[in-house]
Amino acid sequence: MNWSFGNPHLLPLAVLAGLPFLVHLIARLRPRRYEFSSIEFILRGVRKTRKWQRPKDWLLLLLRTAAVIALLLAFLQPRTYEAQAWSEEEDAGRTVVLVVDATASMAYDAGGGSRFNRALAEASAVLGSLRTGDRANAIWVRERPAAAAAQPSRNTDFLRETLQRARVTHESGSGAAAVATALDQLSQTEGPQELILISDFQRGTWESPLPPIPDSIRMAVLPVATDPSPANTAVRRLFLEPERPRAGETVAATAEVINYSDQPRRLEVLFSSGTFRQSEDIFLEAWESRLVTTILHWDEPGEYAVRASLPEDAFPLDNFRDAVIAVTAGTTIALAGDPAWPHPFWERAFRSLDGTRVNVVQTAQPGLNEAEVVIWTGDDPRALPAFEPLFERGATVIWHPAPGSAQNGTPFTRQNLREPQSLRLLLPDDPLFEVFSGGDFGDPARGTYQERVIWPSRTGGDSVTVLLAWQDDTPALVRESAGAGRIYGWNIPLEENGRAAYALLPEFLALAGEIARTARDGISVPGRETVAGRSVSRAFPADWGVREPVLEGPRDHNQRPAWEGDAGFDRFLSAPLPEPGVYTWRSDGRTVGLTAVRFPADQSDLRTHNPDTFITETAITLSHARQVRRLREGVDWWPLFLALAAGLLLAEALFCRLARPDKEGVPS
Amino acid sequence: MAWKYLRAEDLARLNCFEFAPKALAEGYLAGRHQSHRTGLSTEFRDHRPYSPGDDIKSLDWRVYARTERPYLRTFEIETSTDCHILLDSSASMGFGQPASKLDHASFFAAALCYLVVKNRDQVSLQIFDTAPREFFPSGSTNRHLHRILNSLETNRPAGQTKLGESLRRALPLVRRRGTLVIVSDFLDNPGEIFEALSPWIHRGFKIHLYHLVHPDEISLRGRGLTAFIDMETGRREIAHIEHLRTAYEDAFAAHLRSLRDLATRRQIRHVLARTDKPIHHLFDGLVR
Repeated sequence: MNWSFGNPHLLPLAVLAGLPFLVHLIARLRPRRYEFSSIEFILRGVRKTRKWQRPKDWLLLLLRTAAVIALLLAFLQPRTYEAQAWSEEEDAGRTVVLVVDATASMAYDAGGGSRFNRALAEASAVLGSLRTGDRANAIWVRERPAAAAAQPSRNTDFLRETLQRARVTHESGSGAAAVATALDQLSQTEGPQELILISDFQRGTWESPLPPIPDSIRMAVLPVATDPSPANTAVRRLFLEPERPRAGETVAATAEVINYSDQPRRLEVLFSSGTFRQSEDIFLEAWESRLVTTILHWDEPGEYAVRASLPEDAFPLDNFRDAVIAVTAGTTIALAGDPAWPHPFWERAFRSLDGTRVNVVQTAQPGLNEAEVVIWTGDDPRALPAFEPLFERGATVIWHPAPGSAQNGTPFTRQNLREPQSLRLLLPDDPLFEVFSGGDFGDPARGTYQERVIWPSRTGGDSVTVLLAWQDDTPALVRESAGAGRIYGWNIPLEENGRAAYALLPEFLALAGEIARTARDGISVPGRETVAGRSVSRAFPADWGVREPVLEGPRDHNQRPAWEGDAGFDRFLSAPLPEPGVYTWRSDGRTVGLTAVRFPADQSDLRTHNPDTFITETAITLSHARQVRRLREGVDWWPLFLALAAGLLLAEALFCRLARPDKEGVPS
Repeated sequence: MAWKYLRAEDLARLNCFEFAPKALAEGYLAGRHQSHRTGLSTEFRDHRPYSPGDDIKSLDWRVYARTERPYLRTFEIETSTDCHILLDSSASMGFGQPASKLDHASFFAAALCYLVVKNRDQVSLQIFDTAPREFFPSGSTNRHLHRILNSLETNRPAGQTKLGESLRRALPLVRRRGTLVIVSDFLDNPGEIFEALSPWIHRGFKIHLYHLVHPDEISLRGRGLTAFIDMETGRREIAHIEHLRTAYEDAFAAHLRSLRDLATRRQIRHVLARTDKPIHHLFDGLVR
């Protein structure tokens, strides 16, 4: 703490501090003489009052001395500077960038206003402390850091209006990213630079370490969270299994409910979907999370929204969570490539599976893109990119090169073995073979065979998993990831010499069924779910005829997403979706899809960081915005001393008045 | 001749009064003051049964006619009285401006002496401080009055108040009982004062205490730090008047109450004589 005086030339007046003592001493040295008839009663009075009069005299002297000292100090205009004070030497033309947290946790209101409202008030106060010529800007911490202005400007009125209009978002965000944006703006300016972070410093937002702060930048943090132990309950997750059920199939909806408080809570978890309602009471210990499950089913194919909700608490944004599920009529199998062979075996196998819808389509036909499993008998790997849209959806392609392809000069060469060879199961624990683990469905590697193709080397590598192999290690069944989907390479003869070979075995049926099941689980439809603050991209098959759809959100958050072309699809990109809930895609008056927007889970834990633990050593933690001015200009103490002097003089007057003894009547 | 303490205008006013203390006198001269001795007088006192040897002239024949019992009518005789004045002239009596307490006391004493002499009664004056300083035996002549007035005019305040001692030493000087008038500021121990008064009471004196008080003694005036100088002892005490005022006034009032209580218990008349008020009201109880 450093001191300075505004009027140092008045320092000699400090000797006046001894004035009351001087007056006291002079008065005692030369009192007024009073010849009195008898001082007997004077002495009695003195004896009676001496006990309390002396302390009163000293107190009075002290009050007067203190008042004079306070008055002198008021005239001297003392000013204090903190040890880390921001120098005033280069005061003109400073640049101040405010990083204001607008993430969802700032909506928490512990009583007396939300954290965000306080942040806005503090930001306005900081703007109010700027002088003419200073430049300022505000960076919002949200899903994507957003600057109020393109660069710091002198137009602080605009910033104030922006602050007045600002609303807290339901988004997550990265404080570090916002600070990086602020540093980028500051790096383009000259003169003194100030970076002021105004936030609740909620753990999720400020999890990432801050970028290095240059020494030339004065940094201050202003925490606005006042509740040391905020309590909150939230639905952290909601997931449905299976993700693509068939109509009539039961679906387990599981919600993860968590108690972010140090007190146990009893909660009612309510699941709802359309007319379906089911609730369950649970008891959560402090900081405990629990999975709550309910069973649903839908009889008709389509997209449905499921909601898990809790009773509303002080932070209601995360008291519910939505999920969208696509109920299908069945598994769609497409047969692509040469239809002559071996499609009939595959078609027969899939048709025997319950709920499987087999569509026979050719490559690039519209219906192909809806398939979950494609049997492709082509022999040219260069045709694989045609399946990219399928792979994006997570579809599975069973690539079964047709025999005789070698005649066309492709890498696949048909091979007839002199001696039949058996197969080996290399990964018995793979989920694909889970059904065989009990022994009820036989052995997937059963039988000996003489026909195969020589598998090309391009399919080798780390991304390829060999599931079944011939005795001489030639791959018999391989799996390769392709985008969100997968490719199964099939090198097992379904027929040999006109007779059914592997296709004759019941294990083939079981294996085909498992491929179809795992294929269905892997299917995802992008755009069914996103997080508040992010945009969503949704593709609709071109044959659906979706034109200029409207995305209708909760509380009239409606928008018209932009069209983005795609092969075989109409893809639409929305603007960021501001609020959690279910958004409905509508085209020509009909509902074509749903999108669930969820609350960012990292914002539910309202506990905050101590800024001192992660900011730089040179940064200063403030308790309110007024301290910013103190940092720059120091603290003027003269008003305090003036008030103190007035108070002391008033106290002295009151003391004299109260201490004056009451008169007592004298007998006449 | 013009006297300082008995001016012509004072005489005119005093002539309205007549010395008549509310006490029975035992003078040997026939006069205006009542005596317990019955005698020749026109003032009826009461009846008493006849005893052999009584003067038959006093027999009340009317009573005899109604009751057939002899009763005598008795009459009170009137006699002269003595007034003994003790005047305090200690230094403390010099307090007060422009007229000191002693001036007021001297005014009062002179007027009383004049009234007594005018009434052909006898007056004695004793001026005292630590001890009797000057004594004028009882007398009722104008010359006696002039001597007293001369003495009062030359009298100056000095010495300490020792009222008890002065009373003890004055008692042998007074030969005949009567009215004792003490004019003082009574700045002495009340217990000692009344202990010294006991012999006077036993001798049948009717005692009047005239307590001279200056208003500034009742309520301290002024403000600020003050060095109080005792006029009798020269002792010095520095105190702040504002701080002291209440305690002083309490102590002084307690002193007054103490004097008054002791006087009342002994059937002594205590009169507070404020120097800011005329002296004429002080004659209540002494004149008519």
